[in-house]
Amino acid sequence: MRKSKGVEHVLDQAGSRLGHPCDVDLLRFFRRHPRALLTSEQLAACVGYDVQKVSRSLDSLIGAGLVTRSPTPKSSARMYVLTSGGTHGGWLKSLLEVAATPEGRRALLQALARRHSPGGRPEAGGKLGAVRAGRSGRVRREAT
Amino acid sequence: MTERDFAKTGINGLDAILSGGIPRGNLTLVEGAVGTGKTTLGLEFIFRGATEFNEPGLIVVFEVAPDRLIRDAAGFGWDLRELERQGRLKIVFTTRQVFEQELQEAGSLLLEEAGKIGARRIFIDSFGRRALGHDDNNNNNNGSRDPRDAFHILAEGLYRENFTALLAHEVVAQEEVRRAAAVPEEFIADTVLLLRLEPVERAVQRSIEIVKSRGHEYQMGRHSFRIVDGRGLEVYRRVQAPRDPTRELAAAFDPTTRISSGTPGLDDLLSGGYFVGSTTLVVGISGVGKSVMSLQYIAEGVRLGERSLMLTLDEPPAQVLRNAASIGVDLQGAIDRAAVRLYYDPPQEIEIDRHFHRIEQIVREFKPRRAVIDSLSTYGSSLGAAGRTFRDFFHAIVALMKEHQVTAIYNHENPEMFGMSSMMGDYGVSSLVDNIILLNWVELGDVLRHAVTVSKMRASPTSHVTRECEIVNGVGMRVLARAIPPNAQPIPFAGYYGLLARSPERRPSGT
Repeated sequence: MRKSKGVEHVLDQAGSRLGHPCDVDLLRFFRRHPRALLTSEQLAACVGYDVQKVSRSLDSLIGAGLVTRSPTPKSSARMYVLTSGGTHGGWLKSLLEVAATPEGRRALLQALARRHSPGGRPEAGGKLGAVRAGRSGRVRREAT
Repeated sequence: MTERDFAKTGINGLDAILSGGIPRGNLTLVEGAVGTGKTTLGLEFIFRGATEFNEPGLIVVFEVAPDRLIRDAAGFGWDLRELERQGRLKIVFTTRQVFEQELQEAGSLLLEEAGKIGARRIFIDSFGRRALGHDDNNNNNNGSRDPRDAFHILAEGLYRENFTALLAHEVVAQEEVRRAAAVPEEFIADTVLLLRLEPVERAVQRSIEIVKSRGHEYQMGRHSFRIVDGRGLEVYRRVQAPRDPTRELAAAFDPTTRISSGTPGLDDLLSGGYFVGSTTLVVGISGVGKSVMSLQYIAEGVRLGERSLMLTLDEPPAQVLRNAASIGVDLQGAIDRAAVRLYYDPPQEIEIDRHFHRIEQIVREFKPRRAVIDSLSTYGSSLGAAGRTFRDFFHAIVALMKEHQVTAIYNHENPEMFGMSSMMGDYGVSSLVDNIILLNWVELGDVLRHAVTVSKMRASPTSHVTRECEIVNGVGMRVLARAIPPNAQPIPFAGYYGLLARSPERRPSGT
């Protein structure tokens, strides 16, 4: 109960900056790898979503000032750096702490799915519908 | 090369065997199988560089997540996160493929990151043979580029930036397989450090070998090391490795001063005492009085204000203290006053390089005048008499004591109860010692009595007389006076049977 309250509170603070499970999983990845030099295909493979979803999430996180990306790719790889979140640092830290455990991640994704379903309730098909949808197009191949 | 031409690793003991560190700009391969300590060595190299030598560093990882690395480093007391905050370290997660591409680009993002903090050191964790396009049998699986070329290109990228680079390199555990296959990376790299986990009986010991290092001298052979919680790596120079050649010359040799044995009556047999810096072997069966004689030697040092080191493998400290108290020696008090240092190392699975390193440290720091090593036979049973390790260790410790002019007594247990057919049995080191004292049982009637003989004493007249001695509870050992009138005529050898067997009988007169 307390945990779900914490999750809701974190998501309240995050507001519109988090919209998709991929956002959460990308932040989780960058928490473990705060400075990563990867191609977009490799990054997508690491987090388990398709390249397009990852690209959209990255744009969103970069726009929110949570992640920086090297601006001009001289090669196909780009440097991604997790920032402290600036003025939003408080909620980012809390979010990363919650998301660090499998239970916390699940709770976050479920809460996120609830918020983005019509009427703020989980859609038919279960609370993890969004998660499944997010992972359905995952790319497992390494970039060539 | 001057000192400035070397990048010190800062790793305890490693710079000593590298004769000052790694030549700046060298590409170093840290080779080893799984679990040999490559990552820890690389992390410490970067951490020490940033914290002790003002050389910022870059860590590039391919498999281990940086947060794991940071967590593991924290276990050694290395706060990598703080170094990142201070701009003295960057940890970059990437793939090998991207890394290789990056090093081939003049405007590399990776090198740009390194440049931002002025990185001088880089640690790359890690490359395996497969990663460079060949399998364990050295077959090229890349299809396009020769693995040697691939590594050469990688090395050129690192040279261009003049990094002192450490590259962890996974190799197979089995030595014979490893050696059977040519390792092209070893030809290209400037320095190769090989880490091993070596089975010793049923234990495992870590070792490090400098296979090659361009541009300077280094100590060859396999040196032991440990990974110590809260500290990091500790490398212990191979006990057989040659020390500084000037050290024997540096020792202040004192050819005349003698020091007292502390056993009443014994100095008479020793022509006044042991020469300073001499090596004395006290040989006898268990219980004959070797430890008592040693404790009195230490107690005499305390009385004269000379620091003493007691090195024991046979008995733990509490037992040594109790033994000392039983002959009226307050050893604990002497330890508390820093007059005596008692060093106990259990003999099971002794790591001889580490053990010797510790003795060396104590001798240098504590500066004892006297030392007792109890006992040589325990070293023998731990290290084995057949190989060279025991003899090399004994050589090394004798040289160490002589260098520091420590007068050392080595107890040695001889298994023979009556008489001795050999002083050192299989160990064969008696030629290295200056003095030999034999302690024996003599059976007279139904009583075993103590006998002492000085059988060897270099540079001194030796009477070879066997004298009775006694050990009195609360008092200790003393050598009894010879109760033969000075003008009595000695009986010739011809008057006895069994002299060499130490069980002589008077020959009946007329036979």
